[in-house]
Amino acid sequence: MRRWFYFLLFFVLVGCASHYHEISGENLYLYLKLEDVSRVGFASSLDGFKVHEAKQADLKTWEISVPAVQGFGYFYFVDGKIYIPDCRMREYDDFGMQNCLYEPGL
Amino acid sequence: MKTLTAVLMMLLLGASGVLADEVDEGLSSRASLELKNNTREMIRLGISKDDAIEMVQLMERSRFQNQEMIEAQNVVMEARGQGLPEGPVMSKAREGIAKQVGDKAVVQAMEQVRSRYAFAYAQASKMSLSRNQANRLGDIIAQGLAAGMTEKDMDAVRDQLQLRTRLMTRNQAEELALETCNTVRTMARVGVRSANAADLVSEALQNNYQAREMKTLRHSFMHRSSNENPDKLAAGYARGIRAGMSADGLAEAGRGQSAADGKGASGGSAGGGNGGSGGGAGNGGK
Repeated sequence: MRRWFYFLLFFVLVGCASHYHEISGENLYLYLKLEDVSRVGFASSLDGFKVHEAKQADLKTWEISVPAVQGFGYFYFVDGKIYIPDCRMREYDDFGMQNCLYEPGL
Repeated sequence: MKTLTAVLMMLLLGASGVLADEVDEGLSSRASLELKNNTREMIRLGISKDDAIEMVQLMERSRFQNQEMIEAQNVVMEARGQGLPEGPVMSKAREGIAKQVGDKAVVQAMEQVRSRYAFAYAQASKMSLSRNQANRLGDIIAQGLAAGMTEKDMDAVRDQLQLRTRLMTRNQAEELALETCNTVRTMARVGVRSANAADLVSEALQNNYQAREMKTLRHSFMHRSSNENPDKLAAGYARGIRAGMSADGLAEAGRGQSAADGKGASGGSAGGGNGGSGGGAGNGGK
């Protein structure tokens, strides 16, 4: 019974997380929906993986804005821990993890 | 003559003095002489002064051991010496520092990047393209490898490309090579297994696909893979091409497939089944 509970809880939690983007003008807006999180950071190959604090758009939505003109690799820090969301394009990062990729037009 | 020699000597000494000052000023007092000299050597080899100094500053701040800093610099210089772009190697160092994976893991990853680019550029150089296009191709191949393509499969694709472009003009060969490797890279990035991605483009090349068709194939694949399992879709595409379908035919079959999955177009079975969204719904736009 307990196993089923954890199984269900896992899917509920995973189901709560989502990641999507919007393009407005020359800017790309990345959104990460996560519950019960106090800080989200974003690092990408655009600027040598400097960590930027994401803006909290609402209780569970975190927003990052970057130029949409070129492709890049990225990942997040959620409460200080590396977090790779469910993204369509990925690559291996040579550290045993992966990075998400953004490619304009794809 | 003596005056000229003296002026030249003064200029040379002056230049090296400025360089030494910048490295000395840029690095901490704890930086070893070997580290400083290595930094100067990087600059002498043509690596941007700011990048060379910033890399050491970042490593120092992240408490890298002296030996690891020297090794990291050596990897960058080795890439430069081999005619490979040092940018991806240095970017990997910054990424590893951001991820706080430790100095040894950073150096190891930098070496992996260098080695990947060495393989990719060697593959690209076999294609008899112009220098610029060969470098572009090398970058795409390296990124394909980072996304999961194996060297063996990439080698097979390049082999097939070489065979196919033998009688083409250089422009045609360049376009086809770039579109083919771009297609392979994209497929690997959305989760198609290396062997399946290589198989698909090899079938396309054997069936005389041109650059434009390769591009059509990639676009229709990307369109469909947002709703279907990319790996199964790739296998389905390969079967479709083997059965003689054109890129436009595959795209058309895709439109039909979206409406009635599994019925397939003539010669098709290009649908690849309805295997769910292997690539994830994540970055697919809102």
